[in-house]
Amino acid sequence: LWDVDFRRLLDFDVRISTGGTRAADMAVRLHYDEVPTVEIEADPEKAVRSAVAAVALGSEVVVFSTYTAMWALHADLLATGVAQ
Amino acid sequence: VSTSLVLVHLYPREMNIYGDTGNVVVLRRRLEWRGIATEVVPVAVGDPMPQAVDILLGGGGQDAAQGDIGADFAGRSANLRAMADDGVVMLAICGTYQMLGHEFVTLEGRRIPGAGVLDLVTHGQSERLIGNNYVDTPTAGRLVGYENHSGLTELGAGVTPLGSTQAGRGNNGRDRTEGAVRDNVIGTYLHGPVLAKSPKFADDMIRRALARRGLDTELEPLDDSLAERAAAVAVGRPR
Repeated sequence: LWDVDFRRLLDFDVRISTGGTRAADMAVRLHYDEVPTVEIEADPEKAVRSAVAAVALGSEVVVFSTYTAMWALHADLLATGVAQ
Repeated sequence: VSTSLVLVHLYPREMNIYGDTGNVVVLRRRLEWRGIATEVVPVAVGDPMPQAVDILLGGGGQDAAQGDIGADFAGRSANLRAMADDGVVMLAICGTYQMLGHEFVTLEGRRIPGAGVLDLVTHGQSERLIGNNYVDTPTAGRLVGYENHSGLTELGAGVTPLGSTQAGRGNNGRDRTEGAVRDNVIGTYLHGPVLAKSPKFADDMIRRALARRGLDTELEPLDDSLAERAAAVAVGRPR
């Protein structure tokens, strides 16, 4: 993650949150690229739910997930009726 | 501060495992945020070393990568010793830490000479020391990181341990020491990158570099609450 330049995220007017076991680590990484994190949530499903709640109806939530976390997140989104 | 610090990143491609490059990012930003201009110079195999270096950072690598840089590194040994004698601030992680010692003796008994910057010797073994690790240091508080190495390092009288760690961790898993310090040269097995979750340690390095230039400036405090939070999480996590 330290080989990636996250400053590109500053080009977008978006709400950024981090989730999972390494949520705080990821927020530190973003901090060092001067990208502010709105929410740091150890439970990835909670992080996604609160991101969904924060956006306007019909707009997008983009989740960058590790492969391991992706399936659990997908199942959770199906259960909440957010994902197709 | 109307000066520009030169920060060398040694072998950025070959010696960059577990995000050790992040140490460069952390130092550069913490200097920038204090208004101190910084030039980051990558030094790869065959590249010349800049004349005036303030800080040199080297990370860990795969054993194979350490073979790729072997001859180049051997050619830099005398210069690295001179730089250390001159007070250049160095942070050497894992593989680079081992290479700054006198030698690395492989499991088969092959002796690979190091730069002799740090008074220590490393012996390869079949088992690896792997896991999260925290290290209590006298000057920079608790450092948090991750270690993964098969070499066991024994310190000589010419270095002091960077800090103390838990049994089964650190330099050799036996004497509860971790890392080594000599003048402004610091070696450690901590990945993480270590400076990301240890901002006091990062500022300690910056202070050393500025003091060497005769600039005993007070470093403007930064908001390190995120790093402290990440460190607290990591300490409570077994792996």
